[in-house]
Amino acid sequence: MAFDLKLPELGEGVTEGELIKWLVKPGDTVKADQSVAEIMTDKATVEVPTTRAGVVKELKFKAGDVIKVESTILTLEETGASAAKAAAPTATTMAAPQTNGHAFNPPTTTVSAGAATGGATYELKLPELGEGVTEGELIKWLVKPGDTVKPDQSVAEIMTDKATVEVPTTKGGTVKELKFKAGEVVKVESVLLTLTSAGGTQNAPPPQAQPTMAAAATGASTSASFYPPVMDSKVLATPSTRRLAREMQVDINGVTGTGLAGRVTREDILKQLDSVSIGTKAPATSTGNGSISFPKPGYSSTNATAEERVPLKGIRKKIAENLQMAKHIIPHFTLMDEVDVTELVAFRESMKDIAEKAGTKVTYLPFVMKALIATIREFPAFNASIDDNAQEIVYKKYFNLGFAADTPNGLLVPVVKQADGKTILDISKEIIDLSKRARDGKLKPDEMKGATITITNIGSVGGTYATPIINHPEVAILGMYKIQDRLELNAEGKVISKKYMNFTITCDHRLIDGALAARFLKAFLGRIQKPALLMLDMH
Amino acid sequence: MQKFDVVVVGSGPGGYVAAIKCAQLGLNTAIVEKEKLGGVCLNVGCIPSKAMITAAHWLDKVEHGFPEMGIEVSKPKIDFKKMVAWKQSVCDKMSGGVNQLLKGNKVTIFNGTAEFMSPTLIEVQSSKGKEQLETKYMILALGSRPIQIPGFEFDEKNIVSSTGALDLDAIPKRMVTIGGGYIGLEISSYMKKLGTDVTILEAADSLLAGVADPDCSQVVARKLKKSGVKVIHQAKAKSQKKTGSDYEVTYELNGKTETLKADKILVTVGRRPNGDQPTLKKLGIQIDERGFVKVDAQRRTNVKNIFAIGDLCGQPMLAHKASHEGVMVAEIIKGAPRAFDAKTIPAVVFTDPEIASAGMLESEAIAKGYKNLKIAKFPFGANGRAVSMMETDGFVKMIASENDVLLGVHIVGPEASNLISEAVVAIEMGARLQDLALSIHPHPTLGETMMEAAEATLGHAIHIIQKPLHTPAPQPAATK
Repeated sequence: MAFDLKLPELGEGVTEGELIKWLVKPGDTVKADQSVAEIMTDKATVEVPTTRAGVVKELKFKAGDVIKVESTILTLEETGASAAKAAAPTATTMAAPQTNGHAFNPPTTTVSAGAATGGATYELKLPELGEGVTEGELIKWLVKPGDTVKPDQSVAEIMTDKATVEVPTTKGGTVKELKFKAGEVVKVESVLLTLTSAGGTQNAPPPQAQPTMAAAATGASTSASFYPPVMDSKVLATPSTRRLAREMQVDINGVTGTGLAGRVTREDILKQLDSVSIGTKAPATSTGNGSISFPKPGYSSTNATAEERVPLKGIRKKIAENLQMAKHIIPHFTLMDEVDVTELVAFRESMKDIAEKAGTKVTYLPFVMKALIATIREFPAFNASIDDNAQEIVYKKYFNLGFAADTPNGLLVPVVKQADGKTILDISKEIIDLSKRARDGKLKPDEMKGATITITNIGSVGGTYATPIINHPEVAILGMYKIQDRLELNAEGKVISKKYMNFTITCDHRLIDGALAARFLKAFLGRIQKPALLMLDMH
Repeated sequence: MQKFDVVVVGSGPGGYVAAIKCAQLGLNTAIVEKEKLGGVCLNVGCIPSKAMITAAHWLDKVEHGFPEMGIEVSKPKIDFKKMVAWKQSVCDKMSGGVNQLLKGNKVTIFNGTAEFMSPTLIEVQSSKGKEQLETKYMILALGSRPIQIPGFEFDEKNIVSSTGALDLDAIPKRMVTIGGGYIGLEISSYMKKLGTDVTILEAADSLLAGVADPDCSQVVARKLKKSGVKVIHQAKAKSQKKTGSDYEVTYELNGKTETLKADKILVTVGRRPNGDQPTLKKLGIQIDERGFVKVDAQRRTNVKNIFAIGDLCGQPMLAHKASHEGVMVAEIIKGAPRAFDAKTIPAVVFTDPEIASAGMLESEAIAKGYKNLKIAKFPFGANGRAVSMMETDGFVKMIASENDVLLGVHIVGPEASNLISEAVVAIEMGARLQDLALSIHPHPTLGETMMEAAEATLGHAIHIIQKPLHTPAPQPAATK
């Protein structure tokens, strides 16, 4: 079908323009909104887009011509566009809202068909719990039948092999039936519980409404979650602080302001959140819950088309939370040094055959663990925790050594328990087993808990030094880096080859001062340099 | 049928702003307008009345200000047709601007009347026929219209609302204004300057009763009287009849029936929301007995995907309130946890001199339980810029709490409408009087009156004498 493209209005009071040049020629295929000509008016030069797609048939003017607004400037042979437009006149309802960038989440609840009485029944299904997780163990219910729940309220704690998660409901209502008992394993997509929508009659659309409407309404934040406007209260806070309170769901009317004349400050709002979440959940353990809510500053893109968005979830989210918490709570400092490991290298070489016979392979890590345990016995502050709530220091008389493992899913920290009572060969076997299962995502949560100090062996990948983050609630992390050859002059003036390795000790300064860390590192490196000294630590 | 994320109905300062914000947030948005883009505000309200007021202001200056300043001109001649055409060009520019902004943001514009079919379906009737729009969300911005009273049905030629008054063919000789609210006062003031003999019939004891600070409206009342506008209080308009080329307006005053002659009758007794559009009923939304659509603090109706903003959803019927709601609702649709959280909605009246206010009236502060209020005024007569502008009528009045928190600012005087914004920010920020007093205000400007009014409310402004003359020590900034 032919279509005449007319010169559109070019601005207030502009009736004509001069054709500077054509941007297309006859035979070109153009898309809707594609610029076809440059027109200069007495105010500006503008590019004129076509409103339809098609193949350019004829250009009606030449460059230099003055064209009146509403004159036909070119003709197009349309390609299917008009046909598509005319196509769907019979459809009268719209499909359920699609996810097109705004807040529509694919609901994991389904509405049962027999909901004619207004109290619709919803089935809450176990949502996906993370990459590759197909099931989880129900630790405990957070609701019981008869409870009224709001959308987004947590209803159950589910432990997967990676983490323990709280499962929220997507709909509000009254809990009708719990489908599982604590301890049972629940498959993803199984129905966890059923809900009767309490406000069924209020929420329900009026009789004329299309059924799609209720779904549409879940997109915008619902009216249940806002507190009354501040116009009627005496609260003093700047508009941006009030907005922050809304975003954090803190009722600003109930906050005691610490600012001048009782102003509620930005910090007052942020503090509210901290006190709420720290108070109700205990942080900790090596895979533990990073449970402090941190501010979530906005991210505005300057180049959205060249960016890809993926959800921050599962293990990555857990890592982010744990490390954010650790970095927030612990004043870190790192001490670095190098040590001659020529003897250690030789010692390890010498026992290769023995290890092979025992069916394993010995890396440097078990030696480092042994040297670390011996040094910790000398410096108990490195095998301790701070119990913030009790305001006490906890000195641990057991030695569970975590080691950082790089896995496809991100950083995991398996733990060699009671490492002081195990031989180098036992530890080697355990490290190999734990590392493999960490990479395969098969570690049990228990195997990532209870470390008293952690070693990170980033040197196996590269880098001379790093400043690691302590695995809260531990108070130190040891870093080991790659072995490098170095030429040295010995006492006789002969050039000899030596092997050196870098170590770092990163400490919680609340408990460990710099001088103590220096003495610790010296004692530790002494053992690494002369592995035979480890004999002295044997009991 | 076309499908959208959001359809906005009505393109006034609420609707068009909501549509632009929706589009900016990436929502596929349409807007439906049955008349001109920009609604009442841009076409028959705020903007055209300001154009006429400006024209009349300059005419008044030429006649009454110039001789004193030593400028002599012969008596100015008014080409009223040209004046109205200029006013219209102002409106067209603004409306054209809205058109460009909507198009630039890729909002689809439908020129036609919206018929509501269901909460997700709208049918637009236009000269091109019928078109159905399917939408996930609906924002109703239907606005309001002048209230008509029995016996004074608008013909918009001789018995006019604000709409007709702004589009007359000729300057009336004698005009009766029924209703001394802000619209009636604005039109009456400029008509008087253009040469019309104006009488205002007002049912209450004072002008702008309950809306403006009484001290402020008194300044305007005095100036109106001086300029020759007659105001009859406690008067109730009863009927009119045509006598020759004129109208005879009958009204009741103190139980007696009186009459007035006029060639134009302006009825400005208020506005009513357009919540009575017949097909609105099909949406299932609740509408109160005055015609306002019932909404919550998010401006959401009882039907969860439908929002109502602006004049349609409640008082005060002000353009800037509607725009604020428009932006807010767009963000809520996009998922932001917002609600209407402003501390104050400022109001301005373009009388001569202008009145502007933000925050509470004294009576409102007392009603809210504030005790020992601090209140003071600083007159424009003590401000150098005002004197040099020959605009010395009026003052800035401040109301603060016992511990100096700014609660209300009421200005009557030159540029009050532009000065009030500082007060709005101060109130929203929870400012105390000292915050204003300690901020350096540039000299010589009208804005200095804000600083000095704050100082006056604290005890002593520099440029007026206040008793008692001495304060023992500088006002401490102690936290109270």
